[in-house]
Amino acid sequence: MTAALAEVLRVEDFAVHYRTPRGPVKAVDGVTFSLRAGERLGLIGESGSGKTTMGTALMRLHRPPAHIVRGRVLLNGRDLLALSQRELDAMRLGEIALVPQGAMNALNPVMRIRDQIEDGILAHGTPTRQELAERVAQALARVGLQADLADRYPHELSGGQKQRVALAIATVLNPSVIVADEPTSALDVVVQRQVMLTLGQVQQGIGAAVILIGHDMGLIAQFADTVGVLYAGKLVEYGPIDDVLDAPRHPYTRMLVDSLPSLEAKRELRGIPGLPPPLLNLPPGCPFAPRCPYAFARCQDETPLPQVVPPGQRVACHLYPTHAELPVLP
Amino acid sequence: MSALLELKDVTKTYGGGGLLRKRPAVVALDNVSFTIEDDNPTITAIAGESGSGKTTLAHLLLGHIDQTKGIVRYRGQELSRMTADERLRFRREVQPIFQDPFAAFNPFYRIDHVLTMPIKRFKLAGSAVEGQRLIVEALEMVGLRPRETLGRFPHQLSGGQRQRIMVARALLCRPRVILADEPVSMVDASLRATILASLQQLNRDLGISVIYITHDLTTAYQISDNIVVLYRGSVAEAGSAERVIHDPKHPYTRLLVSSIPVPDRRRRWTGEHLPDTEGPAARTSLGCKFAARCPNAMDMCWSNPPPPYRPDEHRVASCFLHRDSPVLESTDVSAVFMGR
Repeated sequence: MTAALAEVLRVEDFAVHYRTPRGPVKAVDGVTFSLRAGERLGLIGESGSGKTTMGTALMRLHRPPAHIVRGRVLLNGRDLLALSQRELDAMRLGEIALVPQGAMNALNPVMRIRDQIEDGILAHGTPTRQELAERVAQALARVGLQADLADRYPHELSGGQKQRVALAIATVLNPSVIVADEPTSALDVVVQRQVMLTLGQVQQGIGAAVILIGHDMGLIAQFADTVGVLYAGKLVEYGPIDDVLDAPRHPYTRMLVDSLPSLEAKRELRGIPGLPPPLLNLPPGCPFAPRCPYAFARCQDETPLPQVVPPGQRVACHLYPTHAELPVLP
Repeated sequence: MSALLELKDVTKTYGGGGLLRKRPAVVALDNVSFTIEDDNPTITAIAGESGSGKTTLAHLLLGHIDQTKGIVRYRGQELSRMTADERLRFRREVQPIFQDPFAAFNPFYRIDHVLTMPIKRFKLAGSAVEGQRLIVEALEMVGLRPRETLGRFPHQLSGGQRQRIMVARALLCRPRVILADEPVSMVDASLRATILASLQQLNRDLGISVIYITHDLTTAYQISDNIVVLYRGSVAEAGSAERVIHDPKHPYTRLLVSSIPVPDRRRRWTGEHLPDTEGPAARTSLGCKFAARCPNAMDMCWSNPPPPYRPDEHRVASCFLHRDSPVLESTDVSAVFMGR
């Protein structure tokens, strides 16, 4: 279905490092992917995998000591990394919008909701008073909120309502890409479901693509069409969500999926032994090798490049193409 | 059967004071009773969303706060009336593990400090050598390598490692009960399983009872024998983990279970209209607290609170949908708990 739609975002060999006195911390290291209109991509990673750095740096919202080292971020054909500040300002919110982590705390506590939504509209045009009021009402209606909520302050709203206001602000200009960074991390499970369903409806309504950043595979499975698995700043597996869940090809993805507690049957809990590597002065080789039960000599000194592995993934692992699928655990 | 830790008809309200104008009190916990048995060490999950009273319950069980009504007892003695010796024993035998593995450490001390403290305080070892041996044993029990952990500062360890040190610290005290309040909610998925597995192991191998307080029904189901579901301070449903999750009887539990994002594409959420479970309800109820959000609410739900019905042997559901079932004789929901 999405195959016929146009590509809206292409990220090529994107790398973001943090400058430190002891050397660069490679938070995002050579990430490549693309998004079509209406596509839902889930980026999953544990803390320190670089997922938030990537989400913010895509829009150049990263702060020093983070800096973009290389790559291209083509949004509707224009490279965001090459734009002037003015051009970039016009693209932000207009064509690519961020729903930040803990967005409910990102609202200004001393401004009415209406003013916070108008802020974005006014930064991108000069509508009449009536147009402005209509667009605020429309933005709130889209996320399932009553229009009279516009005259309230953030503290008068519940967590789920605040999160939806953040969604209304992000989508008020009909962007073609929405980056949502853990949009429901502080919410209870029923409210989380409501907010995610709302995000899905708004996204379909305006035909935007979504990048959902998170650490909960359950949430990504419920929402996304495509999933990218980040480990130590690298995209280790990328592909259709059904393929990745049913037949994970990277050992890390396999172990991550196996570590998820099930609601169907009780079983032995299995974590992944070891810890993610420190990203400072990362040694050559596969970053997962120290924790990987499949690791062999080549994994220690040669960083694997992404390659296509059936059924439909791109996987960065030396097991391929020698193997057709992930062998039984040694 | 003898009761180890016991909560009897406990109510906790906050506020309600006010010098000039009386403010309404917030009922954080409303007439809750359950018992942890001494001779049947099990894992009991207390599950609930924010505002359900689960953290208030944890603080009451640890004696951090006093109840407004009711009794909290350990080994038959009320917490508020313990002698110094009894209190010391209680402090050693009931060990907490808290949510935030970052806040629990003093950043200026090496992690050895949190491990040697209880040994000194509770006089757990006769000599320094023996103390060191206990520490090494406890660390190995939770899957940490002593050589890679001892002598380090908290910032040199990951959240998962720190949380396992807290489990090791609890273990050192040779407790009877471990009360874990959201122990894995700030830990990454791949490490979560390891920490929960070590709690399970302590229960099985050392016979320690575990009270697992959480908002996450999936992990509650995985490690617990029994689950108590709280809604706004009251027990909505309680019983064996298997039944509560696979055949929930209370509409609130059903809503919770169906809202869990499962990593299974064959069980995807549907776009049905969901009740707004946050904030004040449109209509207040003198009866069931869930009435305003309940898809099954009936007239009777608004006037009287539903008693604890017992729809099957290992379950309690405070809901009038089960009014044909017998009412639980006592208010203690652990009467329906499944032993091991």
